[in-house]
Amino acid sequence: MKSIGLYTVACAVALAFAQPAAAQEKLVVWFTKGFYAAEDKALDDMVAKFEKKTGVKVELSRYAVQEIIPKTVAALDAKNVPDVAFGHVYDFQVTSKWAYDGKLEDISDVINPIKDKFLKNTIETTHLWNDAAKKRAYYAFPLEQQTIHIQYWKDMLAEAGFKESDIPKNWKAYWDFWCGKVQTAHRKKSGKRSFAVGHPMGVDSTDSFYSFLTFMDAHNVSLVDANGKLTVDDPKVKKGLTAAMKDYTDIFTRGCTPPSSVNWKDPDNNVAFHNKTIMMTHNATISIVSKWVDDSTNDKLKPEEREQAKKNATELIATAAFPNKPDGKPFVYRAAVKTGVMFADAKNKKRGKEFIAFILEDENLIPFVEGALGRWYPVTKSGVARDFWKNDPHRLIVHNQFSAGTVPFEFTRNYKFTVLNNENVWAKAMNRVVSEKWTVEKAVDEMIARIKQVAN
Amino acid sequence: MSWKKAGTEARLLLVGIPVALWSAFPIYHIFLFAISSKDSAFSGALWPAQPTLRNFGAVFKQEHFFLYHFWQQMWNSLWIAATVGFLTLLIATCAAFAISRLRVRGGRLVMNAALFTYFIPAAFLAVPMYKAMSVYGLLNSSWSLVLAMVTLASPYAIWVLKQASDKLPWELDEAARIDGATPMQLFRLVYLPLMLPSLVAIGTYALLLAWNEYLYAFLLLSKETNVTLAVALGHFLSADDSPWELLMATGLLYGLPPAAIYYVFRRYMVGGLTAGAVKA
Repeated sequence: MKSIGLYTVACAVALAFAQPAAAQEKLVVWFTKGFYAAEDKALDDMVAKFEKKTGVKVELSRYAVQEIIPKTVAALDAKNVPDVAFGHVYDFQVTSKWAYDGKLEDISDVINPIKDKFLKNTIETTHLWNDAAKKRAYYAFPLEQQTIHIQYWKDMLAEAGFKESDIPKNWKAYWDFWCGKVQTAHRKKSGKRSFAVGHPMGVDSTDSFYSFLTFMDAHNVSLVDANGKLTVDDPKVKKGLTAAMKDYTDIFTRGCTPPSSVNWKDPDNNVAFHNKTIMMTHNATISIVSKWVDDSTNDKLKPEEREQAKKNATELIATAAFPNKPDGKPFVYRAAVKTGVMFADAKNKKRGKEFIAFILEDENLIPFVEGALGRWYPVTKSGVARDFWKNDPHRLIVHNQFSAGTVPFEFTRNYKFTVLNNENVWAKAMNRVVSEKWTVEKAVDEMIARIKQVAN
Repeated sequence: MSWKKAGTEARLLLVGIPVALWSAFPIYHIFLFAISSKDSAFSGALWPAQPTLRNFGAVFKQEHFFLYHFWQQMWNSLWIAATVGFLTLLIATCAAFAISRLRVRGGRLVMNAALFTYFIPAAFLAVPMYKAMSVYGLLNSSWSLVLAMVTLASPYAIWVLKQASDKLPWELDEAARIDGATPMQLFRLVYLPLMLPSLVAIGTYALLLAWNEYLYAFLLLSKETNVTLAVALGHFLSADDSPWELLMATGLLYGLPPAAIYYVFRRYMVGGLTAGAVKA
């Protein structure tokens, strides 16, 4: 009798727990948490519209940038994956590898009918090789993209006695201007230990490798060919890499960036900029100025704080492009296309594909991208044509940079570069030079050896 | 005081003062940020020019984008920690009583198994636990974290309580039995009152374990309205313009309940936990 009672209780408990699993049709969606409230609101609106349209319950979860990959990896290991997932760092670290390993669902049937609406560089990034199926197909979808910009305080520049028109346009003079003239003059006039440049060099930072790879682009270095084959044995490549590393580390050795920049994580150059420890920095979005734009309309702040935020955004901070390359030619920027995926083990593929097609519709995607206040650039032709990108001086610079054409990251051609980015071989080499006092040549040799070991 | 004693005191102070400062510095740093305005948080000053409690107001009123669910997340943490404390105590007390006082068969096996679980780091079990919870349809439910934490806390709790209850005089049980006490009466009227210090200590241990848990909470809970405050604090770092002053104010508030619990029960903690440290 007792055992029957226990059995009944156990069944009741099991049923109580199992009940949610047997509810209405659902779709599990994971997204990176937005940087601004408007981004999250746009996604919430999108989800509500989708639920109303289809009657499917969307279980939406949001994760911090640094958390979404560990969480997704755990889900993959447990074979209990979300149906659709989007992470701001998926493209840098995992999308290509997951596609190569056959972990992603082929969503070509969703993308092919609409592929003409996307900018060429963005849709190409999602056309990936699946080594398990031995085919290339659309294993991801693009949502937004980013590239690198320069931001500086106009008032600090003026305090040092210079005008914006004094900033040189060519590579060497540009860095000499900030590092030599501006920093020296600002320190003298303000009496503060200010630094001209915020130069990310931390190993645990995506900014550091984005910035270094941009310096590499300045020296026309391409580490892979069109087929993803390594080119590091080419003497020209090694020479270019060495020049890029020298230029990058020189800014530190000349004392133009705070000593702590060797340990900076992604937020730290923003923080140093906001508290005016540094006068300029290069950043892989315009998040610095977007923060002030956001603050300027934040009704939780005091009126004087909103006013100061507005002043910072509209008068005191400038967004600029990089100077011309050392060969005098204009810069062509590398763009990172932020990708979402559907997993091969997804439980509700039909609805998942419907959801992907739904969020890629202009009326859903545009508010989501623009909700980020310019920090992410659109991936569709209709998105970039909007006045939003022309009626603000900061966003106009971003628009012009993208409009001049972009180049993709190495990992879009050779997925093993995601491993090198994860390791951040670039920042490790910088640290060999600035912390361990290796010669640039020796550090570059070690870096090349590691690149060959991983990506050959 | 003799010179020798004074010398010993001085040596202890020489070690103790730096250690105390070293331990207090991070807490001071958190406090400093929490009472600083947004602009002065990174000024590097040892005390802000204009200390403010506004950050706490922003947290209480859920005024920032990352704080929209603060009270819900605080409640989640409280509910989960209290439930884990209660269930762990219930399971461990019954198990320890059965093994130690009733001498049920298989008790030794249970004790060895409890000890064995400590050879496996909790982090190794995270993915299998995630898989198990997904099979039972419990992912994203507070119960998944409660069950996981009870699983992790119970072996140690059973071990400590069993060792502590072994120290109780056997004659008390015999006297109660002679007076006609049933096992339940023995448990309620003799065992529980005598075990109170250890029970408080173990309950507090389980509660704080769940309160401070990050990895399992992060893996098993997903929706912003379901996660604990520990996980929600991680969201502050998702932006490259983290509002550090609010993060620190929230962190300080999150640290208060365990500090209060530890303070209230401190006299039980050392005695209760060490009661099981030596086999009787």
